Amino acid sequence: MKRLSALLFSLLIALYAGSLMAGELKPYKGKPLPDFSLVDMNGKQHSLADYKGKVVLINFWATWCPPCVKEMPSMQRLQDKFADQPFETLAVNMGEDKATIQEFLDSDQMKKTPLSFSILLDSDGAVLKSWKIFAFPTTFLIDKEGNITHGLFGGLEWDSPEAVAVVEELLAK
Amino acid sequence: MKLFRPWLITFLIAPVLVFASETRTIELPDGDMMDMRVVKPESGSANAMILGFPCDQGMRQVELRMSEQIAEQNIEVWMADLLGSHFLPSEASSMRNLTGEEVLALIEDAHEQTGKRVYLVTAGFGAIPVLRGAKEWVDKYQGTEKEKVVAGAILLYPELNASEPEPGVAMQYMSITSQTSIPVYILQPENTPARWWLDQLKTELEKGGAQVTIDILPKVRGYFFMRPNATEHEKSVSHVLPQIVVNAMNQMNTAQE
Repeated sequence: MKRLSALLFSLLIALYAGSLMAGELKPYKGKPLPDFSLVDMNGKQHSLADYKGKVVLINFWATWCPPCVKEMPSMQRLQDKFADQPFETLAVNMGEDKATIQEFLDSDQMKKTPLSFSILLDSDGAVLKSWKIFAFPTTFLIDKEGNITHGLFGGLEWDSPEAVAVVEELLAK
Repeated sequence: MKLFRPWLITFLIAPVLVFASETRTIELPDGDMMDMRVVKPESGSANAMILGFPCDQGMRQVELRMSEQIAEQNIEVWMADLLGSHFLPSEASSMRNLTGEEVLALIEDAHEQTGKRVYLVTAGFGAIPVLRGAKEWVDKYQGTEKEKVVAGAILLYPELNASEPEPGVAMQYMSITSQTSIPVYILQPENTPARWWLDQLKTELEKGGAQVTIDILPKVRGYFFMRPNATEHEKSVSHVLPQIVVNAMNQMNTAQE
């Protein structure tokens, strides 16, 4: 009976996590959000304004968030797909230290798909607050003019035909 | 095999049991019956008790085990499953739709039976009906001796948002958040997005007069004590969670003396 209860609860959690993974890219409904300046894992400063002229995917994540971790390899595949085009992925980590993030990047699961895009450190949550992030993962797509066009709470297979089509459309503009 | 006869197991266990548990059935305002799990310390108990409610995931063994561990510290615990008693689905919307009527009825019953002050304990979206019930109590007994019977609420990762989050859109809290006047003690796992918004939640709760204390639980996630994929650290914090709740209760008691 105890084992059955544990099984049912695992199933519930899996369904819950699954529902988080069933995200859908929707047109962005919020107001314009402020520029930011954050350092990456190598200490390099990144400002959103630096990316004007490019389509940008900004993802807010943490290593302890299973849907965040699950979608990362597909985000890398999307970046690889548009490697020769003006497309950039920025993954903003929420409040974790460099050692924790590095341990995650060096883990067996991430060795299969090493990440080449920049991981920015929002150590004090300042960008999380100004961008009104209440759940992880949250992702935005920004057009070449710097306008937020799409937003998503929950994970996604970023190299799915639907997601690729949205990025292609933004690149074509 | 004879060694494992039930009477022998009872005999072996009996000396270490320091609490007794029973099921109490009460009639709710809508006529439905609700089973309460009542766990009483064997040798007297504190003058305050816990009325506990599971989160939106429903009642499981882990909550029942924790109630026994708390009772071992001479604190009487009553547990009620608000969703299960109505066969409501285990989801946030079920909790959002519950009024405070049932929690009020349960506080009435618990206080009437024990004469003790009541601390309300819950997690996640359970905070919504719990705070609603506490408000109904305060409204009903304002200015009387009974007003302070509800001594406070201990909330694990309270979810008081009125709707699902939208990227880039400010969060709206349920109206009960700013209508709460009882003391509130928040136990917030560090590894949650909500921990970054605790100052905003505190401000919202204080609008109704609530005195708010916040305690961050390092390196654990929301629902950590019931996660099948819990880390070793989360498992160890789960073991001491009953003590963490008792400490919060003691701290609130001391503040009110």
